[in-house]
Amino acid sequence: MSYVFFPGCSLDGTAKDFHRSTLAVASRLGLELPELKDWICCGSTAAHSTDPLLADALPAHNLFAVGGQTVAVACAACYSRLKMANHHIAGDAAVRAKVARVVGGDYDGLTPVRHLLEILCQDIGRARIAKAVSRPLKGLKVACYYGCLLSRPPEVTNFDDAENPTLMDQLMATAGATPVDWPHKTECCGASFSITDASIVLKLSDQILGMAQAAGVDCIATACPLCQLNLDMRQKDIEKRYERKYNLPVFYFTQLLGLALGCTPQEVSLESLVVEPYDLLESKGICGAEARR
Amino acid sequence: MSGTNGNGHQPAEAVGAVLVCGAGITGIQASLDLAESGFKVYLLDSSPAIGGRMAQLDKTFPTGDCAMCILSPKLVECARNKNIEILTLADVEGISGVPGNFKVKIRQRPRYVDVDKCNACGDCTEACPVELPSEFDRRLGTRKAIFRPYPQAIPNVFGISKAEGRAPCKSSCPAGVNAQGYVALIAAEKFKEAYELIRERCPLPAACGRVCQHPCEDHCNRGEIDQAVAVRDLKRFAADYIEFNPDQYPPAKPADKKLDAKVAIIGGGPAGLTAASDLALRGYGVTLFEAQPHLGGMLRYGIPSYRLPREVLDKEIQYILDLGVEAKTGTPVGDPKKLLEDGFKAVFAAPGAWVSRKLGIEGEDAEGVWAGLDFLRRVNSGETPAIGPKVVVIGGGDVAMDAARCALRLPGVELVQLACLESRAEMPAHSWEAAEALEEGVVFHDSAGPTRIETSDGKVTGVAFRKCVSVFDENKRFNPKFDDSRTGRLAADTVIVTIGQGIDAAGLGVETGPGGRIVADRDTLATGIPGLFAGGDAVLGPASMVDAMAQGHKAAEAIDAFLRGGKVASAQASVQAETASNPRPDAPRQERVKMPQAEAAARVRDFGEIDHGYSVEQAVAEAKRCLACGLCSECMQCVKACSAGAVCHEQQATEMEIDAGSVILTPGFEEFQASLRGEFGHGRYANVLSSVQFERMLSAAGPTGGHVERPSDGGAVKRIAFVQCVGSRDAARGNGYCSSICCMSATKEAMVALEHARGQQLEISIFCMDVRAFGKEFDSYVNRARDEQGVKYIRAIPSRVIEMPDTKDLRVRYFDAEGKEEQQEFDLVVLSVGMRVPESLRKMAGRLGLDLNEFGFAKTERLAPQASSKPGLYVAGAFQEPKDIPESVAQASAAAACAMDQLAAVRGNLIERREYPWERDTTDEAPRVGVFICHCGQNIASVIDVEQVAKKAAGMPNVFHAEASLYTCSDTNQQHIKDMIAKHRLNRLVVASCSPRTHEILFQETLRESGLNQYLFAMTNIRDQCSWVHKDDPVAATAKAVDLMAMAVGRARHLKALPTGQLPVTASALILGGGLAGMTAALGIADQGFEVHLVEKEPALGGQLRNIHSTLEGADVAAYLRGLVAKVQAHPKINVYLNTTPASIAGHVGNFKSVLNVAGHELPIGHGVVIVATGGQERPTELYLHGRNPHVTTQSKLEAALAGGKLPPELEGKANPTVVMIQCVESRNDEHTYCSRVCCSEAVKNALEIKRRLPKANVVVLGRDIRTYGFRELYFQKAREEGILFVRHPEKSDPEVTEGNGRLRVRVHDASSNRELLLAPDLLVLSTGIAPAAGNPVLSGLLRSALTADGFFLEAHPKLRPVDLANEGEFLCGLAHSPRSMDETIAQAQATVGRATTVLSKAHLEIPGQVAKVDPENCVACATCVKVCPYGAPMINDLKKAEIQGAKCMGCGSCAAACPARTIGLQHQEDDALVAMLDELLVGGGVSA
Repeated sequence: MSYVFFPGCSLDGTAKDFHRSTLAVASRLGLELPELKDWICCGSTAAHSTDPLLADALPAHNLFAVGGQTVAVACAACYSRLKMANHHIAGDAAVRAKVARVVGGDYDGLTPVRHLLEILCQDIGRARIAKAVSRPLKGLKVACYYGCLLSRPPEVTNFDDAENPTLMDQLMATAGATPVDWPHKTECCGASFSITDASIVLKLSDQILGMAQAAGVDCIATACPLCQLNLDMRQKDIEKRYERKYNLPVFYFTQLLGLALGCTPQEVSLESLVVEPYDLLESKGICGAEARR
Repeated sequence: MSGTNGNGHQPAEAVGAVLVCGAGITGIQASLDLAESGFKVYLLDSSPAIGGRMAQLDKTFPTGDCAMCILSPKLVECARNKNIEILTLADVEGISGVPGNFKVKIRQRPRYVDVDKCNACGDCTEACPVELPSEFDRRLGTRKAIFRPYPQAIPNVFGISKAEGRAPCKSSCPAGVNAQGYVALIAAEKFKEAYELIRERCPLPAACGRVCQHPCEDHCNRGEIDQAVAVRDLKRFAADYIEFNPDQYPPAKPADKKLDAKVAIIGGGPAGLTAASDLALRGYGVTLFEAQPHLGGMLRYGIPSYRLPREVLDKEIQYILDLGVEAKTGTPVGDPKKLLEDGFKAVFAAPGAWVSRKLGIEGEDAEGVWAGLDFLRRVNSGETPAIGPKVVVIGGGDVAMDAARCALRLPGVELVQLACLESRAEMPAHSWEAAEALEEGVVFHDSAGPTRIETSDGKVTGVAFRKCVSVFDENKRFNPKFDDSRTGRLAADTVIVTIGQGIDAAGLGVETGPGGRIVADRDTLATGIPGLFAGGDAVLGPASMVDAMAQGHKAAEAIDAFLRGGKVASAQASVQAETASNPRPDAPRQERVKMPQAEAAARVRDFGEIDHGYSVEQAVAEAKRCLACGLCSECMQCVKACSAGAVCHEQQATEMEIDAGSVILTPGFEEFQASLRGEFGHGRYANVLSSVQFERMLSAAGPTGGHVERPSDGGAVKRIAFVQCVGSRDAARGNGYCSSICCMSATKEAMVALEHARGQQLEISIFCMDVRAFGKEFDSYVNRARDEQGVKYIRAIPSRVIEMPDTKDLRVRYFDAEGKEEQQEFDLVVLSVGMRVPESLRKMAGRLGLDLNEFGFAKTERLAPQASSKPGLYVAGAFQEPKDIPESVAQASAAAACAMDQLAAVRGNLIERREYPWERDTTDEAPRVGVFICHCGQNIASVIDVEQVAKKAAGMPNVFHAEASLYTCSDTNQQHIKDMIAKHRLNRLVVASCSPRTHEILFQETLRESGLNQYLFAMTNIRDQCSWVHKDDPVAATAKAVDLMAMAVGRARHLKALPTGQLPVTASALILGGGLAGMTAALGIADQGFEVHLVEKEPALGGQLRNIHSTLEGADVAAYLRGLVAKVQAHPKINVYLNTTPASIAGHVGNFKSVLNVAGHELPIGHGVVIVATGGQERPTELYLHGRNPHVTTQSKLEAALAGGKLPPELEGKANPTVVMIQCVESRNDEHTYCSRVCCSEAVKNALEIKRRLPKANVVVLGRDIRTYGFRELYFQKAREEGILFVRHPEKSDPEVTEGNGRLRVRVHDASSNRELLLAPDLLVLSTGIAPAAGNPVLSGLLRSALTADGFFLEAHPKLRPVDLANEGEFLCGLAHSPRSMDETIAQAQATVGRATTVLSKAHLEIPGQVAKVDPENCVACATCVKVCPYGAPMINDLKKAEIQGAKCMGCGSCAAACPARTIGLQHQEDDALVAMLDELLVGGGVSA
């Protein structure tokens, strides 16, 4: 099975661990993810808050270059932008024409875009993954956190059940972990306010961490570089500001799945997590002391 | 369609029958009206019972009636009516023909219970082990697979739910064991029954329960959710249970009927034993030949005893032998043909597969090399083969595991290693076998191909291996590939080779095929030799125990057929029944109960059994994990329990065709699926309920017995939130309409919940956009809820509901009145789900070619609300538009009237009239009482000693016959009662059974058919009020039943025959009011051939309709009015009296005598019914400068100004004028609390018209709520899209209007922005509402009919008799009833036609015998009776004495109780009979102690 992989800037920078663990999981499952040549930024938050045409043209440039194959995306923000551009271009001839002038070719907006969660759960299937699991994450209670971008707006992303997505939960169950149903699966973490007004992020992320803790989980699994960053890197600040204690490791779901598939902690870049996961993983017998380096 | 003419002209071949599709309250009302008006009715419903959605309701608004209490009598009426044929579980497949003569194709699904035999005793439900979620309770509770939706269901019979296919566990069992059945029985703790069911298809339950490879579990749907149900372990449990409780299971005994034919069976393995058991039970003489010293085959010699203990196997074999099977062990059979020659009529050869395959490598013959089966046979025979400390087992199958594990248990063995070709994942052994072997210490070496067995001195020293790269090729064929460069060696002194089994059938003299297998027919197992059959491993190759048993069954059936028919029955292809899918994919995860096992370290010490079996608790818990995929498990417990023999699992669907003149479609609605609004968490969060679920929770008959509790923990509920408009007013989800009922229904549920809380703290918040309480008396109900009960109406729709993970409390997120985000926590969130059209209905409409609107509701016109797009097909109820019960009931009667209109000429043609024999005069006979005591199956007899009661009855004076019968109400018993009446010349009948409500009329009919007066009957209920409530004290219950029976006998002795009176009917109607309502009613009645007197006080017809010019949808009302007036004036049957008012109205139903004041002259007329259609009027107002400022007008004046393409002068010539409309002027205030219902739609209509003409006009509508219910909502939506502003202002904060500088100024508080708005309109329009007609009080006096507090006429019952007045024969429609729009007025007017024809169509009305009667002797004409009677029955006659008008008397007895002279008696309830009852009870009368 092969997809053209669009890593996006985050996976090239702050979320290198997401990138690495994604490729580790893919290779264990025989999933080929050749990287799109000469890809450019999807526009992220900046483009669509300044110029609607730019916001559509940047993803269109990438999607046009793919040439009709299915695109695989790991970053939730990239996924959202690519899908949104498709939605605009395929649904509005005027937009399509404008974009064509910028991109230098008529892109129809029909190149399929799939998130990694969709590919793993729906294309590869849980049965195949289950066969490849060699280190079940027994006893690990996970809050699967999808963030606000994957499923919204539902008519654009058409991702799983918009209000109660379960793809990641299914994957975690397949990996042998115990996904715990909790109500904040798709709340907003504050996203890129991290850069402009961190107090918003502290407040929103605190609510998410608090709800995960109330649900009694051991850790959180994420599918978005910004979510992971806000919940993980800012956790200490949040604990200080609100005088709470969370100590909840925040993984990329690919990191947990990778471990279950037998990857080493290094292969899935556990060392880049700010809230150290080793005590937890050792207590569950998932990793030994050798995991710490 | 040729031959169709839409003008109601009568085709000659018209059919006097009507089909009503959908048996909710709407269909029921239509059916009753039709049947009472002389038509045969087919009442069809796709569910098992009539009653529809109303049966699910707890209470109704705004009166708080118990829904079931008011519905149930209607249900019973339908059941009793001989001219209503109820067709349940039925769907219409197609309709052909023309109006007046349709042919309707109907498909009826099987009920699996014979309706004629079922007496609804409920014994089957008691016996049924299968619990299913109850659809009726919307999955909050459970019901059995054989069930009745609710206790009052009509038809009062049970039915079985079956899935489309069979449960996968059952369909995948080769031997046909009913796995779902025995699992269900274990869950219900019916262990003996479970064992019996297993035995039907499995003669070795204990063995099979231990070693079966259970394909059932591989197919179990539960596996999709977590793990398969432990079907095999449960079978073992059932067998163990019988082992420990042998008294519960009878010892085996040979078949009663012996057949002469003898059958020989070769091979005592599972195939042979099964065939032997089956054949012996059929009566054949069976002889089993076994080569080994003991029976059991592979079960004994192949399977180690730690998996299947010998004594377990021995017992099961002995059971089979006890059936009369002769066993010849140690007797190999060389030639089966010889057995046939020796006198055996048939032979079944099942010798098994006993040859071990060889490796074919060097050293295989060395000492210390064992063939696997030989090794196992030795061990399993109890020997201890001497093997060395280092054992290597070659092979990866189950036999390899058994061999390795046996070796491990032998003395002296230190290390057992297992080597196989396959990789770990490919190993053919079952995973649990391999896992257990690993646990016990067997060392696995996979992907290893043996190359040589190394020897020294002819003894084994080790095995050499090379790496096996792959075992199978691309075609999945066995074709191993090796890597010779990678080799290894295992040291060994014993090698056990277990690489497969072969068959040695050469000696049997039969044809053999590949692998030495015997050739036999796949289906009949017949070989080439007549009479010789073969099966088991010898035919299939090595297979499992359950496959072998399947072969045994097949052989027994084939041999039986062969011996009966003289030849083998033709090969029957096994019918592969469809497999049922998972009925509950969303079932919560629940881990499988693990069977307790010995510790690995302990178990390798000996051959003791590893698995310890389930305890009772474990087994029941595990069995309860079953999802019941087949729904009914076909365990046949119901068949055994039913004394009436009514259960029939073989029933099939049937097709039928009926003739009907008209068709009425009343299929109702379904609720919106709440989980589609994912943000509210229905289906995800336990404490989020749909309003239908909450209704069931409130119901005393519901899953919690009416107790409001949190489903998550059963805890107390202190805070409830209702979320309105879930699936309504939601254009995004395709439900842009308003469901019309939810605001009121939520208010009602809130009120009932508060009532249940009885002073306990309970806070209720209703989140809504508008409060749409637009119906009669609705606003005062809402005001009561808000002001007296503290229900909060919060104007916001929550964005999200969050379940707190720890407490399961629900956090509701919304924006408050200040516009701030608010979060509030609740114990329960109720989602008020809207109405929608079910998919099945859309399909039906497609089949019938019926036009639907964009939402799937029937397409109708506002001015002909009951007419569907197909002539002759009429619609009513929620399928026409979402509506509440009174509107549905009115439409039902209206649709009935429309349906009759076509068929007036054939009225009465298909009606069944009962002819009774001449009534015997019993006046001079002494009482001769017959007493029948009912068992009611187990319902009464299991508690009360009915024989004892009958015996006591027999001993009473005047009793000439007494008996107890199984079902007194059954058809056969009615004949028996008649026979007894004739035989003993009985003249009184007493039945002690169930409720007179449902059964009295049945026995009265029996009396009439026997030539006795129906009043010579006394019934007493010893079930509902005796056996059911005194279950725990049978002795006292029996004594009470005796008392009740004796009282009934005491009463019976004093019963008198009462005549049923007859009153002639004057077949004409008086209609008061010549507006839309009156004219519509007049035309309807006159078209059916009855005379009409239409009275109008004005000089012209038309009423309020003259002020209306168009409908919201744009129809031309003026043209409609002109047409209507012309038709009325031209109709030969209608007498129009203008300038006329009624002067007096006297008489009663069927025979009124009234006087009209026709322009000053008195005109007496006679008529059979009265219809009040006197209308209403626009309320005058002086508020908001109306009448003082010329630019302040009303909606009706605005409409008139806009009619005909004109504009009001204020707007003329202006591009962007401002128009402000104020709603609820003089409505919904302290003085006039009610809502005028039409004003919001009128405002929207006029606002849209202004916008259409002047697109830049500013139109602002000020109001508290916008009440555009039903499809009117679409115009409200359109208005907003067109830019019309709707400003909501809070309660008690009405707009202020001032004028200054020649301009109007309006100041209003906008609730949504919390700001003051200042508007300067060019035109101010007031929505002034509808007032009752000025003449109502006078007319109310003439009719003796009450008015509501608001001044409208009060109907007989606000829900179920919306167009009836309290007095019989008097009806009501239009604005005289309450404010309403044109379509609703038309429906009500047509409804009065439907109701009126129930009277007018009869030549005579029957007056029942139970009426009050005055003895004039003592009457002083005090008129007390006249005052107390609610029906106006008593009058003071010309002789100045009170007289009861029989036609009006309801037999309630109020007058008899109130009469100071005690000179009024209520017949059939006379004092002497009551005294006699008390005598029996207190003195003991005739019952001897």
